[in-house]
Amino acid sequence: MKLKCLIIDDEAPAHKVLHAHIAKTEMIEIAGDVYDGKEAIDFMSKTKIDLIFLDIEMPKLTGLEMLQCLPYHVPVILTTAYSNFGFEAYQNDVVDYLLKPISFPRFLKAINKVSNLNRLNSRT
Amino acid sequence: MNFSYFNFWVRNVALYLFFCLLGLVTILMDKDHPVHREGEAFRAILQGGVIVLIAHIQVYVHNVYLYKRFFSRQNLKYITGLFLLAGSYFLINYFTPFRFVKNDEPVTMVISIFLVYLVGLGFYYAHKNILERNLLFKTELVERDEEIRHLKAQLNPHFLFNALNNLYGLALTEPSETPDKILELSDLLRYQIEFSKKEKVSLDDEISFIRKYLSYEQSRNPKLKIDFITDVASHEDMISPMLFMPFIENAIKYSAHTDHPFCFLSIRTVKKSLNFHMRNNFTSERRKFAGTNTGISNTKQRLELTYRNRHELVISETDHIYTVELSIKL
Repeated sequence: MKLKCLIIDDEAPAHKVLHAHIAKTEMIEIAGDVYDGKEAIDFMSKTKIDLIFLDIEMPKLTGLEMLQCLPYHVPVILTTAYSNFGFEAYQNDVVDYLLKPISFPRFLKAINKVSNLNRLNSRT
Repeated sequence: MNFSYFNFWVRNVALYLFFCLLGLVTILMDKDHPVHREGEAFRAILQGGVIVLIAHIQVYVHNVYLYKRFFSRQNLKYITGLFLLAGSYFLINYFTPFRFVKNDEPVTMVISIFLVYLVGLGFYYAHKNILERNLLFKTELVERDEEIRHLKAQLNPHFLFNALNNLYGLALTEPSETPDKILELSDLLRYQIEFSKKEKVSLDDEISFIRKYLSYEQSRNPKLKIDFITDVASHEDMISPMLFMPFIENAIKYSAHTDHPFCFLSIRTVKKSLNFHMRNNFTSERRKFAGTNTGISNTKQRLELTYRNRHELVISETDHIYTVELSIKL
């Protein structure tokens, strides 16, 4: 079964990068595209998702604020242009931290981390 | 009271006191002067002070009324005024108890009063020069400050890496559109790096930059409603670069926090007066993220320095709507 992922980024063109990468990756598919934290929480309460791609610098709710108020636990991969939020991000249990522009090999590495994590979880 | 270079009163009072002191020293050194006679000291000192005051007023009238208005434009009026002023000086000296120096030859008096005018004009020019240089330095400083702020804002990782990531996404999904987008982005960057250094740019260039900037912001956030109306009569109008950008940047930043962001702009010129109007929405809950607003305060300073007494800025906030109304005499 493919992992259903949600893309949260206020910049519409940023979604395209992830779309292109996801299209080339077997194990995941897109469940939805949203542009701010509020939409994301609405979406998540209606649809069960398995993975989130989350931008940090967003209006309304920042990515780091979003991490505090996710309706249920789900692996998160941060996508950001800033390299200095790493520590804060890992304090909030993110799986990986991708710097924009996001290359495909680096993207794949992050997806592999998620699937390894899932495999570990299902074993226990 | 403001003790800055701009304060003419301080200069005038300081100069008056300085000349009084000079006069006092002179009469004290003169052994025959009445100040040394018993019972006459106070009267002599008072008289000296009044004489300096009269000379001071004469210089003031000469600089402010005669020189500023007529010199080198209406020389006949200037010379007539000069002689009338000098004449009034003689009358004051002869028909009041305050005679400058007793038994003075008329020739000496003529020379002395014209010397007084000359010295007064010298001080006036020295002060004016300092003032103008001061203003120039201040203007340059604020402009450099604004330039740095702009470069920082545009060359920050958020802007640049996001822009690169967006281009990357476009190249992956719609490669045919990518070259145009690269050119648009480099136009934006080039304008900000090169044109923001200039003192004045053409209004047409500035408007086309704003258009490109808005279209870039539009592509980042398709929800944003932008309306930009321009009505510029002359293609020769010049303007200080990036003057409106802090307002526009803020409008885009703060409207993004709302569910239906909008930013309406217009730039109109009628003859030599420019009208900039901007309206955007915002949410009050995010006011705490308003930041320091360096951009807006810089713009206010720049307007004060570059368009002193030639602009009017009204910013109003009502019911989640932020409005900027700026008119400038170009």
